[in-house]
Amino acid sequence: MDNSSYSNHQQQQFQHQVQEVSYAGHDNNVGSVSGSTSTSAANGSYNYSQVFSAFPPSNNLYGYGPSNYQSSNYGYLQQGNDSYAQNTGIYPGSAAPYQSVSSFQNRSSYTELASYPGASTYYNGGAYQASTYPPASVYSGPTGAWNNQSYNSYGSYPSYGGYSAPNSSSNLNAVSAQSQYQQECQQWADYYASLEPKVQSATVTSSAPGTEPDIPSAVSLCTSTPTYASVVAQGTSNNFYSAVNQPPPPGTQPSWQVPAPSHFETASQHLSSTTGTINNGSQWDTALMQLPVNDSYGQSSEHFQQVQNNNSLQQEQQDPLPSSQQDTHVTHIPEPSPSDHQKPLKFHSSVQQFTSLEASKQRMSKLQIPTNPRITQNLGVVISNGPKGALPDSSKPQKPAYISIRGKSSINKVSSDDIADATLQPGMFPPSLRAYVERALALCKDDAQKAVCQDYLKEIITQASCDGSLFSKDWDIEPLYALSSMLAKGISKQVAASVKLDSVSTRRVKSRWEPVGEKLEDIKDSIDADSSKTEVLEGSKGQEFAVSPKKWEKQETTWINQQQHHITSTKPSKRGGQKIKKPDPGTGGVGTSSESDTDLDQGGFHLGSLLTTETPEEKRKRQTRTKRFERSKEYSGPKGSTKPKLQGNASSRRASAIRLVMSVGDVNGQAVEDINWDSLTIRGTCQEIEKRYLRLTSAPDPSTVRPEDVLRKALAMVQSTPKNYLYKCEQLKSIRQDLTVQRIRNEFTVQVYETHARMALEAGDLAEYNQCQAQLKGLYSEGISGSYNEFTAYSLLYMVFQNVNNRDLLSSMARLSHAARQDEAVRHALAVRSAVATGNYTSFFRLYRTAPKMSSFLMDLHVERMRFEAVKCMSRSYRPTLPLSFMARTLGFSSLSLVNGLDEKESDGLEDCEEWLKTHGAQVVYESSTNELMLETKMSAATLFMPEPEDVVPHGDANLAVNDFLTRS
Amino acid sequence: MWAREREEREREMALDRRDSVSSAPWRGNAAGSLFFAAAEASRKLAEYVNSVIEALSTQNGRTLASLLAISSPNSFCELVASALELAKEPIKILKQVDKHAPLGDMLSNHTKCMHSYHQRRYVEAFNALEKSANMFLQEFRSWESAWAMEALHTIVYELRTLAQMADREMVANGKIPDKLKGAGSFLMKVFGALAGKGPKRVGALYVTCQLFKVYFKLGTVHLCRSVIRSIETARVFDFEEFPARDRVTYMYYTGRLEVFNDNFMGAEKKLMYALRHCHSSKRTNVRMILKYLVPVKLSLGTLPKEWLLQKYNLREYLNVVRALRRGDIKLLRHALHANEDGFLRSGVYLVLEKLEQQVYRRLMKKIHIIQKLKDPARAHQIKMEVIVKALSWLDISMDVEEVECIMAILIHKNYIKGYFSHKSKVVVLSKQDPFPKLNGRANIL
Repeated sequence: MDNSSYSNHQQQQFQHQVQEVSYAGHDNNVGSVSGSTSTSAANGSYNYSQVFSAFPPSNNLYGYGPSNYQSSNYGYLQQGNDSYAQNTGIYPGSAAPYQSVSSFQNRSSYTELASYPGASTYYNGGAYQASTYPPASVYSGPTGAWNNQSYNSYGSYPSYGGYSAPNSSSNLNAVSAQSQYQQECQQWADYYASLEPKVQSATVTSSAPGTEPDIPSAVSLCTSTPTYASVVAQGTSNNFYSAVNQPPPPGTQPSWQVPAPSHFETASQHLSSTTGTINNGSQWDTALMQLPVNDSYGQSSEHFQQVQNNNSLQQEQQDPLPSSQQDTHVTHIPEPSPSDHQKPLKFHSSVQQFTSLEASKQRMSKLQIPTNPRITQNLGVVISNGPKGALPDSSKPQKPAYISIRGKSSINKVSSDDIADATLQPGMFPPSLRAYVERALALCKDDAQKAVCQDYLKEIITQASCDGSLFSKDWDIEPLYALSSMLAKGISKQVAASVKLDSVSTRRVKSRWEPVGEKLEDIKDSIDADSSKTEVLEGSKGQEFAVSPKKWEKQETTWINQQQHHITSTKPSKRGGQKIKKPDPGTGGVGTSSESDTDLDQGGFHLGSLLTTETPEEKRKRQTRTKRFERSKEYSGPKGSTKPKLQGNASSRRASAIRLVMSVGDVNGQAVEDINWDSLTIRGTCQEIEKRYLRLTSAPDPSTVRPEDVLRKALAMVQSTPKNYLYKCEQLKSIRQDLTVQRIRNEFTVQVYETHARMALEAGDLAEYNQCQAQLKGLYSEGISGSYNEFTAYSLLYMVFQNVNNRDLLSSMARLSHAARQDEAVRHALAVRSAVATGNYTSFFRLYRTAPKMSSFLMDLHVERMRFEAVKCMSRSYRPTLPLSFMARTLGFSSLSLVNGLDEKESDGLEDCEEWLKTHGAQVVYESSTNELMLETKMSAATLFMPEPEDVVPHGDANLAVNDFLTRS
Repeated sequence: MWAREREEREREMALDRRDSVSSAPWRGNAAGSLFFAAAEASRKLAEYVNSVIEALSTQNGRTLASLLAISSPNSFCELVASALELAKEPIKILKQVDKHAPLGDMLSNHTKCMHSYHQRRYVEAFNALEKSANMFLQEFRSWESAWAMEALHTIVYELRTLAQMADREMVANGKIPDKLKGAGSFLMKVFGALAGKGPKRVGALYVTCQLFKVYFKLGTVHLCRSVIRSIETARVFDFEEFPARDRVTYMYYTGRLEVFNDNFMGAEKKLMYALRHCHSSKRTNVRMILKYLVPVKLSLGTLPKEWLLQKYNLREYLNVVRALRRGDIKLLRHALHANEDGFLRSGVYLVLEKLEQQVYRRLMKKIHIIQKLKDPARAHQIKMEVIVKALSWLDISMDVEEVECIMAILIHKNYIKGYFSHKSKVVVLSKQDPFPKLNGRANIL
């Protein structure tokens, strides 16, 4: 359980790291990339900052994480690596390499892909987990510093030292990522090896053999990083700053683009100086960076798109870029085919493969990239490091999985996009072009339009760059007319996606405890990416390196085939996109979780991308297939397999479902009812044990939903926590919500409801108790075992005290089995019922004293009324007086202090009894002869009354009054 | 007619030829018998349709009702079902009804229902009957007189019974039964069509009773209230004008409702009405009424003769009554325990349970009588220890405090007149009428 979930987290983190790295690379190193990267980084950071603001207490969140994680970034990385290794084993060779690639370049894209449900979820999960995870704590330091630094630096270049620290961490991460990559890619190894020698040689080499070795390398990187960081800081800080301030920073870009190259060089130099490996790493980074940048651009919102445009332009110009690798990338890019991955290529070829993979990824994952805003920010901060290591700890460790997941499909795609972007990056856009882009985007009314517009702009820009008019053209007078038609064209495609995204985004914003924003953005991006994919490709056509759309499609299909091949085990889930988890028997014991995750994600992603082009028939087929799998899934579901495999898919599932709804209407004429909502059942990925309860107002988000194993921990925590009932109640409600959302109905569910029912009884919270009781009734009737008799007794008592009509009471009594009637609690309840029915107060209060389990809390409800009836009865039947001592004993006043001994009990009971009698209008007189207080019955009979309850509160317990609640929140 | 038959015959032959490869014996026995069977079926169906038409045209409600009956032993169900299977184009035949009343679709649904019922596919049958009933009701509304009331009642009855069967079938197939609920809502519609002023109101009580049956079966007794209000508040129509059959049923169910509400006086009134108007030859009905009337009477202080219980096979009450006569708490508890399930199911358990206090009262009365025999002057003072001892003879072990409580309750609820002295542990009975009569008094507070 833990491992699996952990692995996911790690993967997510890893991805984050990767992204960060890539960004970092851009910022710091990538002179060539500089323009595009910087913008992307800026965007990323920008978003991120928002995210952060929404998600302020990163430290706290981190604090939640396990102590293990906290130990160090290194540890994190290692873990990530481990999971990776496991994954690799499972994964097909191609997948592994892909993952690595993705990790390098595409993280952002991964997370954001809407079509790629898994990715978005992952991303969220990653963010979440990161926050929750111990590594996060470690991370928190760096991130916080990082954020501060980055922001600060932007404002003024002050503290680079701090920056360097983050960088180091990022470096470590990067290293780990690489190592992971290597491990995963063992199959890859072939090409990778070829690649590594060149690119990563120094840095990676150490890591390559095993994950552990990575650490030292990471350290070295760290050490080296400071300088690097400083360089980056200077270069990036400017860039970032501008970017941050101006999402579409037309004016700023030029300036920073210029500096960037120099920085890059310096950075590379630094790296080289520090270590041979570093140089390689930097190159890697640049390459990687370029790729990620592209992804982010494509996926991210308008800003991103602008960036893309910029990138494309830059890419064209880039050719002269500092790193030869980029060139190679470009050249190779046109040929990215899935098959390539598997073949061991030369370094260049490998790069190409990567790029191609990444491109494919990007396509698919573009959307996801936006989700990573945090990451991107992190990346920006971390960027200093090589491609992988740069990511902040928290994000990195978790992300690896994601990366790996995408590995296959995403890699291919990503590479193309990335490449294109990368090529563009080196060059700079004229400010007029930026202004033009801004104007164009300003016309867009919504995200869908923006996405279309971005694609179109990209096309224009690539065109311009192709025919060399990029700088010669007067962008200020360039007409925007084409955009309107483009928009009209593109919108229809994207409507569904955008709608969904919007809804998601709004929802996201609402949720408190999540690292909000990211997901939504991711999803949006992913959707955009989907729609814009082809367009982007077309746009890139003109360029030498660009792949023709046809080629792309081919690739995609081939890729799909490949994927299917790879994923046979996970196929069902994949197919379904929306489909949930499948039992994963095929994955095998090792690292199944991460593996399956990746597979699933890929599948989901894939599906999402494919969906748009699918014929209705195919859709229908897929739906039926999905259903078929669901059954098995559901079957396995209740067992609560702890593996979070499919967690990531929920968002994608949702997306696909929505798309289905939207598209089906026109295409198939299918009604909404035809959608198989069962397939939308999610599997949570959240690893936080503690979670606040918020009533859901939209579809649940897997990254905020905890899987069963975590819920078990949460229950144990609630049971042992010393905190008050309000806290427990909230926690239990959130547990119940997660259970409901995941449709978990088993013994554990019963346990949760029973626990909550007992606690509610204890606290007098009848409303909650009633809810739990109602649920328990249903659960028991399904044959799930639990404390059936105990709660039967409670429900009987509750009915008696709530004056339920006779018929209901009778029917529930008639339903009691013979065995149940032998149960102590049930017998007690029946006796109480009888006592109440006959008004036998003596037996009632005796039963009150001997009530088993929580029954006495329920009886509390009736004590007041019973006492009043009893006193009424006494005052009518006894003459002339009745000693209070007798009454106190009979009416249960002494029961509380019974334990302390007779004397105390009597006196205590007497006082309470007298007090009670007086407030109810009884006449108490002092009998001097016996030295006793007596009830004057005849007089009392006329004056007895039932006072208005003073301290009535909705939840039934005055102790839980508003003040308590307010102080708590 | 003849022409059509010939036509059918030719079609039949063509069919045969096509089906059998060796088309040789198409005039053979099989084909011939088939042909004749089909012709016979068509004839029978036409006959059936003709009688329906006749009933419609003569406004003979009784005949129509018997023609539409499904579950009654001498219904046309089997005939129609078999004819439907064999006849060619049965719809055409059934449509002939439309000449007289637009009931062709209704009849085709109705015969479909008969067919399904005959094959024991009750869910299908119910669905068809529901359609048929809706169409019939629509037509019934347009008829000014209430001549077809009997037919409507038949349909209502068949719908309800079929719904129960359909529900059973659904449960057996693991589905959630909802047909009876559907029948209930249809009956409400019928009730709405009848409950207004006019000649059709006579039939409203029958539907009401059918509704009661549905609601009691479904456990949604609270839905009865609106119907009851509509029946009891209408001044236009005297309750006595309803048929006795419906009045008895109605009073029986409303009496049961009063039992649930602990309104024993009202329950007694209604159940007594039902008992008095129930034909004495309907022993099962009398027994059903007595099943509720006896506990109600008991709680009001009237004990039945044992022969009555014997006669109507109400043995479960024998020991209860004996316990009341003897003041034997133990016997009462035993009797309650022995028949607990039955009492719980019929809903009288809670009523009988409260008889315990009467048994205590009886016990006190006996002690009082004995004391009076011994020492009339002090007979009104009953010491606690005496009561405890008496209880222990009955194998009931209670301590003084508990007995004290029970005495206090007896006094409080006016089972006994007097007071209790805690100091001296004595129940002091009133010298005048210490055990007031329970009869005619709501003694259960």
